Amino acid sequence: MIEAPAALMRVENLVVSFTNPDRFGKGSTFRVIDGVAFDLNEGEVFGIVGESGSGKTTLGKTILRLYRPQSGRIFYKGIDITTLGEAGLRPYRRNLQMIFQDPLTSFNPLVRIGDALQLPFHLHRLCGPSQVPHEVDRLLTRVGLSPGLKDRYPHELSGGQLQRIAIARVLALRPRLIVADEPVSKLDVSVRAQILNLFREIQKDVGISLVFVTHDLRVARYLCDRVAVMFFGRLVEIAPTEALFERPLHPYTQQLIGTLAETRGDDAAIEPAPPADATGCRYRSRCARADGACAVPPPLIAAGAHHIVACHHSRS
Amino acid sequence: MNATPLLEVRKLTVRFRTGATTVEAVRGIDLTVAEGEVLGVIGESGSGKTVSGLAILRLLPANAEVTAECLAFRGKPLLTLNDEAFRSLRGTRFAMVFQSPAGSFNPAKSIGWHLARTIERARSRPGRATADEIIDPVRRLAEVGIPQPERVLRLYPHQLSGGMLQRALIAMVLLLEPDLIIADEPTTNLDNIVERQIIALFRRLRERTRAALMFITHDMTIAAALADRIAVMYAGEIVESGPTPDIFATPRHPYTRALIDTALQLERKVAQLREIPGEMPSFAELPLGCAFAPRCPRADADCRRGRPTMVALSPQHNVRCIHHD
Repeated sequence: MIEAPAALMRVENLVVSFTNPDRFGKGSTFRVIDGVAFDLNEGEVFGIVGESGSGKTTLGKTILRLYRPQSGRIFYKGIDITTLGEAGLRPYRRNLQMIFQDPLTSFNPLVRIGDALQLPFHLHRLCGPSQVPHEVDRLLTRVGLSPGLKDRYPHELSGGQLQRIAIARVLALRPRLIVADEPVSKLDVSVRAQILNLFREIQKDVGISLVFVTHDLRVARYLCDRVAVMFFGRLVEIAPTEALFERPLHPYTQQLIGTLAETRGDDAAIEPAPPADATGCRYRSRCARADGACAVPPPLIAAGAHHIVACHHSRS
Repeated sequence: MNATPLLEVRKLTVRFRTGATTVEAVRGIDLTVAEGEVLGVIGESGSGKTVSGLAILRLLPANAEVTAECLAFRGKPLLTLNDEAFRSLRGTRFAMVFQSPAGSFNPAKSIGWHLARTIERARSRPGRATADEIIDPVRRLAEVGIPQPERVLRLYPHQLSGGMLQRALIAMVLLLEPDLIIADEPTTNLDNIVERQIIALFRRLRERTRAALMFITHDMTIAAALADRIAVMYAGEIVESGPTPDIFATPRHPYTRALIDTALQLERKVAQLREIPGEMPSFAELPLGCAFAPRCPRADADCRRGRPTMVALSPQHNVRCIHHD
């Protein structure tokens, strides 16, 4: 096995659960993330792929500590940030940034674009106050926009322009890690390629680590160095992008990649519904290869260079 | 073209009044849908595709002004009908499936309640086939691929996933046995796998029902899988229309070509995505000439001079571009 590059972030056995409160103040608890582990390398683009409800957004937010996990560990540069409070997290916030799916709701509708972009400079004292307007202009230009947009309000801009500004706002902080949660899924097709290319260009330029959360495998293939496939709270396969597409090992990954090849598809409803019982392999109710062995949860096992898969039948 | 088309639209224009300004969101489009035909209407947000669908079904707000040289259903003019007469057509002769199915359901009522109401409505329509056949809601849900339909009847909208809810809505629409279904991006909010399933469902249904379908989407690959003919919209007008194989084999408008390129390039592994530069102009700042000219690689002075007219390349294939060769 090749020596693993230094991990920027290490996630161990992460569990996040949400409680649906009932009227007596208790309620049922649901494990949205159930034992997830991975390493994120310095300067890497890491894709998290899964259907809606699989927990990929929750995973992205939890590793940035926007949520607090129930158990497990999150290390940023070797420092355990799992249980830090707001004050303890503050030194790391600048380095751990997020870009959201819907750019319109990530801006205050009453604040002009220029002021929204100035805020991070003031909050984090990134430069002298007199320098700030100059830096804002530089950022706008960097993401391909005219500095003249400073005086506009969010609703006056298109989704593509706003997503560029969301990227600019994050870049102001010079973060080490950006989690981008479906950042092109709300954009028009003719604009998507522009934003994907911008992500790629900026990631290469600045060398930051990027976690790209998407339901679209094709986007992951274009952008990511490694891809993790998520199925209802668990990672079922992690592999370098090329290996994943050429030799997908988990039946769920195979199904996902299969849908890319055909437009026709089978219309029998295989719904992304949470599996009825949480024991064993979660995919088994949908899996053609499921048998008695699948009643035991499959561990992630090595199946090749940097390729790991959680399936009892991946070897057969 | 044989006989009267099911839906005929000529020079449909929609203007919105907001305060002192008026914005023209649909700028004189021509459309026809034949009996049993699937027309794919392609465009990005703001191109006017949804507004066109809503205008045909008279679902636009009061500040919209809809005019047309011709808006006829089976040769019968629609614009002159009073609201009551129109309502009796909408929901029986034509129906709409929206992007977000949750908005079409009452959150406080079960799926069964919705189906029962729809059945009531369907029965009131004179000249129905066999009444018994339409009454069985369980069968109707099973038909659109909903597993355990008995159980689903007792559930409430929020208990179903987006894909299931969209199926239930399609089942309701089919109960009415409409002649024309306008589906507005019905798969946009769904996951890849579920999206393919719904598209496959529409394909299966078109073989079984005789309903014509106007399928509004921004996704070229969906249109390719489903539509007999395609109309591409940009900035409130149709820039190209024709049979699906012609549009894909020989797209003649630079925008159509760019859409097909960008849609298909992600299907393979590519080193670098090609982009369509810029964005669609807003209706308040439309250029004088061709609306696509600011983004077009072939644009020249002639393109900026005046709005290009629709050119017929063949009886079916039309394009609005002066450089269509």
